[in-house]
Amino acid sequence: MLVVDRLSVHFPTRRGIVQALDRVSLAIEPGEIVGLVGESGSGKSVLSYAISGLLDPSARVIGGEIRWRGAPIGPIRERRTTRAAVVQIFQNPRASLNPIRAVGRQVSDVAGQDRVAPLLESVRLDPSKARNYPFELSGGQCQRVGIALALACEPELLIADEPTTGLDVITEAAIMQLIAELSRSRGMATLLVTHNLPLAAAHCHRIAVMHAGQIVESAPVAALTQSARHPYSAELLAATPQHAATPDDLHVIQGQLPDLVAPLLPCRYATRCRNRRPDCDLSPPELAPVASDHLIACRHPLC
Amino acid sequence: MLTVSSLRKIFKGRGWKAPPVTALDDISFEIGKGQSLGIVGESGSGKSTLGRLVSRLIDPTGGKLLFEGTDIGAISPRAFVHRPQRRQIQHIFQDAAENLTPHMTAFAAIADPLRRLVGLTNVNDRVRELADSVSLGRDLLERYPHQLSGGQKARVGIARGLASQPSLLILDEPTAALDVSVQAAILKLLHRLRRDLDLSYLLISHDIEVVRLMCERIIILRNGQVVEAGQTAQVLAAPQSDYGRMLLAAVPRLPS
Repeated sequence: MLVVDRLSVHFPTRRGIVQALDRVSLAIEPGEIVGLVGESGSGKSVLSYAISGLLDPSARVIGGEIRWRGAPIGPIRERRTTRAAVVQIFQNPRASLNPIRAVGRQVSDVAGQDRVAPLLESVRLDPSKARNYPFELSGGQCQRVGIALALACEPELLIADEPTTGLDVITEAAIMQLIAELSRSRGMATLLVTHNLPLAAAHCHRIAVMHAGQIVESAPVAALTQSARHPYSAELLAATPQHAATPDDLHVIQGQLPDLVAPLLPCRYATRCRNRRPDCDLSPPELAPVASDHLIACRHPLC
Repeated sequence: MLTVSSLRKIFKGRGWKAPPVTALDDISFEIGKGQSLGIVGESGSGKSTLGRLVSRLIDPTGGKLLFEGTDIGAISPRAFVHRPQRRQIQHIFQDAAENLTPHMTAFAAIADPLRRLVGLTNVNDRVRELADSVSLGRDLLERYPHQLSGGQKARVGIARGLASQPSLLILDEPTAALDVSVQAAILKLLHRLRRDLDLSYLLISHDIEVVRLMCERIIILRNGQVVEAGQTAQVLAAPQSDYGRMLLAAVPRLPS
């Protein structure tokens, strides 16, 4: 349904050209929930903005394209175009709501007055909150209003950019269940952008791991969590607190994301990688299958 | 060191005829020297209000807050600023990004409590020492918050909290805004500091994994009431309340 095909995006800035996305490929089918994980600054949000067609006009598409049901769509925000089939839940809930309208009225603009109460209830918000303005609600409550708004549009593809950050686990589980239900009943596809790997593992069918603007691994949840092949995916898994008994056992990923303005090595993970060999620096590793539906971009994967 | 008994907080309703809100009701617990207590619960359960009461940013409606024998709950927030206990209890706020003054460099942010609470005039050496203790590069001290990464901002927040050599730190969601890997680094830092400086922590988090790693004891709050309290390992292994079971079941996990 949605295909991102070798998309490369650069941003010209005063410091130089930020090479934000590099040959990113990703496909999402109806009813599928795909997780996109990686550290802050890895390009997750840029990719989600590109799919929503909301990239800043200063962005330069260097190569590749995004296809929606076979037809190419522009990743860059243009004047007054809306893509009703694709709806995004934004990271900053307060900034994405209208500050001078009661939240119930904002929901009713999209869904009609009758659906306001059930929609708010579906995200575990008391319908009496409909009369409140965004500043009267907590961050978590605004977040839930944003989610209700997005779901009210009955999108075919939902881009959820860190939808549950700042929410408690019970609300988080309720919202993810709601998304899963809509995926099943209406065939809504979802791209869940998060740095919470356990969350993605619990609710997605497939997970794509991003590092410094490149997708380094993409696999079904079981394959990724049980037998990650890219060294970066393995490091991310090891860093989750669940694996540690005491804080001293916590694993910290070495190094930092490379500066995307500076000249980059062919493999952008090379400087942090424990498996680095001389041939890693010859040419960029291509995202290639190692098993059915399991792709990695690495010359020396883990076994 | 800190004994909280039957603590209550009722907020006046905002606006015309709005009913009062009971944020916390009958909360009692103790934190000993060097101990760490975790407070978990969903948003709106009163976790942050509890932290703000203990650091005396707001007034309790009822109950006692005994800190080393003194009922600090009876001191008004305005007077508390001048009390010696003010140096002993430090609050490290949720989301360091929003809680550092944007026009203050990291150096100024750390120097501020040294001047105001400790009364130092020559702060340079002490600021550098604090930066070292939280593994914040000295070259970063001249930067403004927007020039620092999330993890670096968290370190500035912690260094600032440690400036007055407190014995109790109130950590309100210290890692909520951070990546897993940066979170791991900050948790390790907090753990090491607690051991080295014999600090006590009141750690507020909605992340049960963080509390499991950092705290020996845990309290689960719901709508301002304690639904479960005890040794972290015991509570997590066998929660006694329905709500505790529901909360733990909702934690997403990686398949092992």
